Amino acid sequence: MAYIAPKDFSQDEGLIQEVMRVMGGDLDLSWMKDHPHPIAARPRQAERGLTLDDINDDPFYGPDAIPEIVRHNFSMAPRGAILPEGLPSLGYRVNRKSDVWADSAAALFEESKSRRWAPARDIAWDALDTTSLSPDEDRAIHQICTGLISIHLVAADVPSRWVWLMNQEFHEIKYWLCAQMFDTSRLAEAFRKRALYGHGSLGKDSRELGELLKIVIDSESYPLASASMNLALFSLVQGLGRHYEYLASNPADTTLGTRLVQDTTRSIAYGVDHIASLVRARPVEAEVINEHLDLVDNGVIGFLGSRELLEPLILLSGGFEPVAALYRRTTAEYFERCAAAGLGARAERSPLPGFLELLGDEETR
Amino acid sequence: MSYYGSTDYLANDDFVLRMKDMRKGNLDLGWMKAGTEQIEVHAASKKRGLTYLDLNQGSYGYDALGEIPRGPRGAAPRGAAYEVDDQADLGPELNLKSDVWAYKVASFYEEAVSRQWDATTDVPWADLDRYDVPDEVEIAFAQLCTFFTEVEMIATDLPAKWCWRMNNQFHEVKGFIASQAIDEARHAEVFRKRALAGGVGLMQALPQAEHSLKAILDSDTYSEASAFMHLLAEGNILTMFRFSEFISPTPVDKRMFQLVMQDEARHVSYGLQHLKWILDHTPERREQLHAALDEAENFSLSQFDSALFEAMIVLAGKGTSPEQIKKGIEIVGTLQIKQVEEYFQRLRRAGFADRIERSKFRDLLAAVSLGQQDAALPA
Repeated sequence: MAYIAPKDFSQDEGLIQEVMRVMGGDLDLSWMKDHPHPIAARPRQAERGLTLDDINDDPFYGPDAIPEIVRHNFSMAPRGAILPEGLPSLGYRVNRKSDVWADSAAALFEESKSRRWAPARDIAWDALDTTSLSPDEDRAIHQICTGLISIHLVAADVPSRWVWLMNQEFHEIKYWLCAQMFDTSRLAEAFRKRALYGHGSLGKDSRELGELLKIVIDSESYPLASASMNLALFSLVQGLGRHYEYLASNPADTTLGTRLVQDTTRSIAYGVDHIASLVRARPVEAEVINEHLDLVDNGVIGFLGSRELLEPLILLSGGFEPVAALYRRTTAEYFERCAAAGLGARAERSPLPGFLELLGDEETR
Repeated sequence: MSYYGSTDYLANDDFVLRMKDMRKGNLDLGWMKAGTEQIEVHAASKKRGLTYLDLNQGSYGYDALGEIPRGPRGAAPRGAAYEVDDQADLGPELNLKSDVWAYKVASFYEEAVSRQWDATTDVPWADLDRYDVPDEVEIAFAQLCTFFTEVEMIATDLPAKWCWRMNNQFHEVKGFIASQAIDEARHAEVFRKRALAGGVGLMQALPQAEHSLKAILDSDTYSEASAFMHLLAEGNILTMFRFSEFISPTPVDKRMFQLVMQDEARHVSYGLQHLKWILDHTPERREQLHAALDEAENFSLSQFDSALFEAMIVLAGKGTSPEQIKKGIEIVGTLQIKQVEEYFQRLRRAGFADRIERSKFRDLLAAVSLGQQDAALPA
């Protein structure tokens, strides 16, 4: 046991006396006098319900109360509660607000809940029974799904790896990371069901994708993990989602593509806001993140050029050029997001433009 | 340092040649010959939709997954083709099925996905204005909600601590844990909202409860942590939720507890079924779990924060007059006995009835003379 109680409480006379005092009717009730920050929050817009923004009343309950470096609370006591003597430290290692914060996280959490869906019922699976894909196209979709399952298995692990290390003062961020864990697990579920439905099968694991996912999850700090996943990886996934929806020949695939884009876009929005907030608070971090992304981008190149992604995309898209166009578009959007996040012109240092050159220029082909 | 991969792709001749080849339309299509199994899958029940239970077939199914899935250590989904030597090793630490598995876990996951709710809109917050709650009852309720806000996030943080260390072959368990994470975040959210909507605000954090939370988070293994948290702690909280629904000051609060109870019951069931799975498949771990629960029960005993218990007494008696306090004590005493009885019942269902004889709860109940029914509890 890592944490042992200081005594055997079943033999503790003091505890037994305390229980007998209260259960004998001798109540102290002094705690009733101590509620220093009364509040009666109500929904600002009735139809939207009671949101986190509605209850985030500063200076006691809202995020303005959080200092840049949290030194006053390492317990699970909720922000704004009375902190009595004797609260233990739960060992949080992420205690700096700018390492995690994004003002939009509360709204993104609210959106995630309100846009909940269930792959079991919200996808018209039987529409796949009458779809007219060729056997090769079927295999290509199964291969794309195999990659998307892997991506979302690891994308659930990334917030899981960090959320329990974050100070409870950042509860909006923790809520959001829980939503992200759930969103990504649900996408892994949805694409597994897509691959196996009907006469289904999975495809082949991609070594290059595995390398990219290992780079993302092994990022050595939360900001680096966030930039890797929410900006770099999910920009690619969002592009794939749009393309998947564009190629869809049945309502099931259309909905899958739409849901993939919708859920992924939330993560991108958090990533841009998070990194922008961090760079505003600590500009020196921009170079640290840029250096990391230079190497993440190399991993992205590996996946974009892997046979397990590129070949099924070529097959489904009717040739090489539509896929090259998808890659160019997705890369441009990724660079725009990096710029919005305060990371400057990543096109000038990333290896991705060199990769796009390998694909050939549309005009010269 | 972070991991940055084994290949600088643009400096890799093979990669560059491959891209040029593919541009010309020369495709390898090796992935088409993956050699994976083809199965036939349809929804067994139209009403229920396409569930993980429907996918439980052949190499893709969880029934065929052995205790030691040798080989896979990367991101390949179960049933996909992969090269043992070529996969990116993600370093999973929980690689035995019995480390994480539970009977019915696929059903628990599906239920969680289908029963998501929203604390923002599914609780009729505006209706709070329709009810006149006495000040002392609202203060006591604010203390109770402060406690629930404080403890609920442990059931996010603890599973999250272990989830990313689990082999991706166990995706049903990982999915369930992700669902538990969002469930518990929503619980912390709903109790915070209730405390801040009632006019009182947040009250005292409770040090003794926090020591229990620390002990849960610091447990040596996932299974020990699960027995402590899912079975014992969340079991106790589930009983408290039922009690809290019973003593809720308004219908708005009853609705809140009905919503959280369904989630909590699922988490407790997972813990019970995980414990049962361990005992059925790796009985040699019985003593290890006994030792973990010895200390877990000890921490639970220490959790007698008088502010919390007095708040529950005030709520149960609906006030602080001597008669109301007397009534409140009777109800809270019954709750305490119920918590222990239900815990013992879960131990029996998990095949861990020998735990009851060893439990520290028997001694304390007898010592404080609260447990008239304790004598009747079968060992």
